[in-house]
Amino acid sequence: MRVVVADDVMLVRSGLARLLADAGVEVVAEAGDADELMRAVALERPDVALVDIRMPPTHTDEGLVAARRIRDGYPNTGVLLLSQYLEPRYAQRLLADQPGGLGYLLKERVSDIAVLVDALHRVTDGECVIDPTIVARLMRRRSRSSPLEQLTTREREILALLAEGRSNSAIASRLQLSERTVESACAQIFRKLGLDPSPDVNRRVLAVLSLLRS
Amino acid sequence: MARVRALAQRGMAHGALARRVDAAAVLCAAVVAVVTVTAGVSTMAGPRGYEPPEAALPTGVLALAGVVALAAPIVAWCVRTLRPGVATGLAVAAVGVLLPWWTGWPSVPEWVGARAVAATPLAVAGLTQAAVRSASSRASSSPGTNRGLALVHGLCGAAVIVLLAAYQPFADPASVRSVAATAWVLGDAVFTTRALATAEVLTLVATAVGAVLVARSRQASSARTEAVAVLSSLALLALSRHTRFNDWVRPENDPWPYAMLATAFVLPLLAAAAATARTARTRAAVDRVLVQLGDSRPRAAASDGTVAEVEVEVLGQGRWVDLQGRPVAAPAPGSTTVQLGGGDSQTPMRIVLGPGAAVDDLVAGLTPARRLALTNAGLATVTRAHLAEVQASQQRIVAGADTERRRIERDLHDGAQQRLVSAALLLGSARNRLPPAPATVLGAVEGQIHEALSQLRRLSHGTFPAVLADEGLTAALVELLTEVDMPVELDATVGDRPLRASAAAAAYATVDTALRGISQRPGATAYVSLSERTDLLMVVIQALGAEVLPTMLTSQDAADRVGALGGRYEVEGREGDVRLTAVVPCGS
Repeated sequence: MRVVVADDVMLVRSGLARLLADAGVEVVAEAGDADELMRAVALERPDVALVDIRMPPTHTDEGLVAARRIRDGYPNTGVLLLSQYLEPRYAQRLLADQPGGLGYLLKERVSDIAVLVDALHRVTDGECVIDPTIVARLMRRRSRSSPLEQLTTREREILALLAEGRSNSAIASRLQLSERTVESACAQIFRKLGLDPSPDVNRRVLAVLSLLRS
Repeated sequence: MARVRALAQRGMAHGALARRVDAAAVLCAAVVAVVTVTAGVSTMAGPRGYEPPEAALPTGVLALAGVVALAAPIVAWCVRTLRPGVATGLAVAAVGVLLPWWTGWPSVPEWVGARAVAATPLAVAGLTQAAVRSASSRASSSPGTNRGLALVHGLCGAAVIVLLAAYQPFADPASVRSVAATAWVLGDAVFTTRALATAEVLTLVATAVGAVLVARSRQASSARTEAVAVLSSLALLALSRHTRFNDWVRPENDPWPYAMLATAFVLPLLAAAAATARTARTRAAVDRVLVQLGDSRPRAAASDGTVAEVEVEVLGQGRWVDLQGRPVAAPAPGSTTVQLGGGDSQTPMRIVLGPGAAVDDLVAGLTPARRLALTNAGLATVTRAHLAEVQASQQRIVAGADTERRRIERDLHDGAQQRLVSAALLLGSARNRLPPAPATVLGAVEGQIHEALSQLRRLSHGTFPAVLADEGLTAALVELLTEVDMPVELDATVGDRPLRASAAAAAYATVDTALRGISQRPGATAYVSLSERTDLLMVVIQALGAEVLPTMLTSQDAADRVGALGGRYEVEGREGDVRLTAVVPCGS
């Protein structure tokens, strides 16, 4: 897997690169700001770009804008955004249109290399990964008109884990359920959210999308 | 204090006495005027064998002079703003002008008619007194002026006495009308010629002194017309005496002296009427300013330009503002200003006059009530100016604190947090290469770092909600509500127009304070309403089934932010029903 790392802080950038190299992920380029990132993506055509949201010059949402451009210009390149903060609004802005191939993790999460590598793989596969903390926030947001209100507590738990990008088996072991139960619960969730039968990955992304849009 | 009161009482007693003297003089003048007009007109038109040449002129002039002499002192007495003494002066002048006509009238006892001519110098004394006392300048009541007036009175009185004692109409070739054969006390000793000459000289000197007094008391440019009129009158009086003296040398029956006397009386009255009209106009302008005081709308330029502006000094700062609180520059050089107040306890004010107005008129127009109203308006203006400054200062403090918070947030993000993240990354990298036992320890260290990071995150978010600056109030509130455990409904109907940053921050802080300041019992719900109406942002947070925590009542951040913008902030907490309202001015 070929990865481009973009972060304006050199310490973090090189730390990430070393960590990824340790895990056997090939870091093809490093970028300090959004322009460098776009050049590196254009040149290297990586599988995925690991991007900090806040970068120069304004330190607000440069990474977010770059992510949108990468997804529009290079559909084969996934983007995993890193943020220092819990910013559900950024996740929403980024993922609300087409969450496939995008991810959003808190920066501190990445020191667990297994989580990071897993997230990179999922994003590369066109899935959507959202940080558990942010998912928890989103789930807490209640609106009476939302179809999410029809879900049971157990179904909401499963949807949250789906949004984090976990597989059925991971969800089953996490919640100490059988995989079959998880599968049928997923089917219930898709039905309640009005998602037509379609390839599994797509439906998972769409379920997350309805969570984000609630 | 007692001394002041005694002085005040004496002043009042003096004023009351002077008013009574005025009343008596006016009454006498009225009697003389009525008698003169009725008797004089009937005599001149009558057939009693006496037909003066050019009778038409004296008759008309007499009638006019009589009416004016009747009206002028009465009017002067009725106008309360004129000082005591003016009415007396006019009454004496009227008597001095009218009495000489009695000479030779058959309906008048002969001994009275013969002495009536002696009254002519009274016109000079009365006119001078009226002219000096009616002037509003300070010079008109100075001791020097009082002495001068006394001198004029003395000279004229002496002239009257000389004429009474030594003037013999038979010996006066000009006095063809008088047929009285009277015995005169000093007649043989002084002779009529000398008596006339003496009286003439005394009256001329009195006229000259009076002229000086009048000129001194009316130095203001606005009073020049009156001064010129009075001086002309005095000149006419002197001339009439002089003509009469010449008549003795060149006998000729001439009505002109009488006409001159009457004209001399009427002329200053016309000037006084004009001056009174102008004073009334100035007072009306002052009144208009007073009426507009309570009106906060910007004032249209004064319609007649009498009062251009009223300005107040903000004490302790040396800057001036108009009554709407707008800063004003120093008055243009050459413009006329009247200073008010400026004592220990008074707010310095100034009235900038328009080109058509006179300082004396304005000062005369400032009655104590008007002065008080102006002072009150000035105080209110200064208070408003101070309040605005305090508010501006409060806003600067809040804005300064926000800038500082933002800087701290940025520093945390760029400094401590990044270093902790990179330390965590390095630890992760090291942990992967170590055998399980030390790796467990490193894992614990990593856990501590994660805990520190999450605390830092909470800290810097509390320090400054970046979402508020980036995406506006509604987005920030939506985010804020996700952090609260209880169900909260948000009803935000705020227009698309971006709010002022300070207003948005105040509203955000209010909701934040409210939601963090209530204890959330099971089943508690909250409702947050945000609405905008004509430059006011209404923020209402209502929590049912919740209790107010002491922190909400002691937290001043939101209240300070709302207060800095001049808004209203209220907490009403009953058992299970907490309501917090903030009204935030958000107009630019």
